[in-house]
Amino acid sequence: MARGSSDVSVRVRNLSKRFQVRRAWGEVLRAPMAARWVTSVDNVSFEVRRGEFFGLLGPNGAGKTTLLKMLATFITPDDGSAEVEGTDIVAESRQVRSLVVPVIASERSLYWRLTARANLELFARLWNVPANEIAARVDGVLGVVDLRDTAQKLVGQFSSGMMQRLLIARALLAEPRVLLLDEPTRSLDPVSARAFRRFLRDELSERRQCAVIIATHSAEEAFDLCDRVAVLDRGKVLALGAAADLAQDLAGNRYLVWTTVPTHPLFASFTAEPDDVAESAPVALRDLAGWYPVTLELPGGPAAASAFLATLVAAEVPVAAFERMPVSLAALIEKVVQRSRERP
Amino acid sequence: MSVSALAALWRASFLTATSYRLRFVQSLVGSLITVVPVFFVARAMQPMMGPTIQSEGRDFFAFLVVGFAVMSFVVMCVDALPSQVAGDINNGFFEALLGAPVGTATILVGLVTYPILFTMLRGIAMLALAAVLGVHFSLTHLPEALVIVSLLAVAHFGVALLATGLMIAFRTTLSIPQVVITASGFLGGVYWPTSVIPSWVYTVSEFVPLTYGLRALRQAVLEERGFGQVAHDVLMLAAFAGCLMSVGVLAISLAIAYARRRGTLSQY
Repeated sequence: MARGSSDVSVRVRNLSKRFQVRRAWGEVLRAPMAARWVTSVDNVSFEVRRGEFFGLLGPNGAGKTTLLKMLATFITPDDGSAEVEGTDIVAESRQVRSLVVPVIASERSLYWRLTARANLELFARLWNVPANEIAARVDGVLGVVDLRDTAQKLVGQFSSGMMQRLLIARALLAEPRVLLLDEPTRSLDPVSARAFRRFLRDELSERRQCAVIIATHSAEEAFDLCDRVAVLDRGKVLALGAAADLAQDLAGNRYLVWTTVPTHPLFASFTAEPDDVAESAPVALRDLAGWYPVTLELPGGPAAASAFLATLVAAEVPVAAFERMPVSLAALIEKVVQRSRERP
Repeated sequence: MSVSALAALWRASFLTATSYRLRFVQSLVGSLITVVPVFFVARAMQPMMGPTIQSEGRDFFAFLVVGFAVMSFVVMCVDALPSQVAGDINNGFFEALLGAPVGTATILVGLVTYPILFTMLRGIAMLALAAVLGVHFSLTHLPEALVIVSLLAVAHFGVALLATGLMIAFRTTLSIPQVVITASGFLGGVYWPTSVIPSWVYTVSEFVPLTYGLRALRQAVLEERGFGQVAHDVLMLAAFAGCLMSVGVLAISLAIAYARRRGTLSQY
């Protein structure tokens, strides 16, 4: 799904950040000057092109949010550099803030006693939107997040999901060159979340060529929205590429076979522990009496799988489906992290 | 400094304040109601206090009402910013503001423009009521009065910046606003002239900017004295304003850089 454009919007080079660990009182009294540090972002490099969707995946504490906050200029990096549209995030932080807009997740970061429209008008002025464009731009973003009908309502009367949408609308006001999103659809209902993703894709990415960096735990966002993803753990980038390609690479040699004779001797030496994915395999077969899933580990790649299927057919073992098992987002992250930790 | 951004922040604070209608009316009317008991108490104490305020208007009610109006302004200048920023850090609003491409100065000034202007408005209303009750304020030296009030604002906003810097860096103001407010109230000549306080305390009062500001202001608006006659106090106040503002700007710059390094700027 990678785009043809080679124009780089965000360039991150060897970016690192470590934080001092908060110590217990006893420890501080014993050794007042000592300090312990934890590395949150460790020598991270990547580039994001204009109009590209770039996902940051990883377990909690992997460094995703720190990375986003460094790009938003809220945190100063210790080492390395990052540029947005050629502007250095440390040396020219104010200019960067006119290019990069983070979606702040806190609902309290809105004026609850003001209407949605008044909130957006305030931030439009803070983002230097020309006065004669403010009304149209506010209307536009309210429409995008489907809040136009409640624009005159006090924000304090909004539901959590509506506030989340308003926060997103606020970020879109600035027409950023780079949008930073930290689990943006966490509080949205599925319909709003889908509409929001569609907006991100159609309007921001394709029409305005805005780069979007998104930290997410959502499989839909990682696989369907992101052109590329980086899997992080303990601050390091462990894998970088299209989510689907990574999933394909990590899918391994696990296959799911639907058969009427799951105890057939041919399966015996290849049977593996079934996992949750088996349950999500063809619904039609699950509902059909007499057919059972068998999870197999078939070393040797597609050729070996093909040969094994031929053996089953030759042995007249009934087979309704034979497929390589897809890897879920959780499994993808887990596998990448596991693979990295197993390396010497 | 972006005027448009300042105006937008002022408007948002104004709309928020006026949305609490009863509280808004009460805060306006409350300060006026205060003037009435002060009037009677001051009249009762006039024979005792009159001789001590010969150079600051002679009328104890006028002396007090100017002191109260300026003191409420100083309290707002010192305390509004650190309190506002503390709240905004806690709810993430400060992070949202710092994400905007406007200068930090615009944000900090914008956050307190409304409460400070509103306090000024209340002070003017108090003085107007005092005028109705018989106090004569001279407008001949209004420019002097405006300069003195501006210098008081700069000096005390410097303290506010220092306290806000501490709040951003360490999540505490070290009670600096409270210390300054208490010292200003008791030693700055709000309720009694500094000339009547014991000598050793008087020495301390010379380090309180309000001492100079209030004395000069009373002389300008109650005694019709011009810059030439209040020059010493105005210059001392200007020196305090310069020093405190420099310290405040330095503190806030260092604090924001420190918080960005520590990653605590947007921690709430």
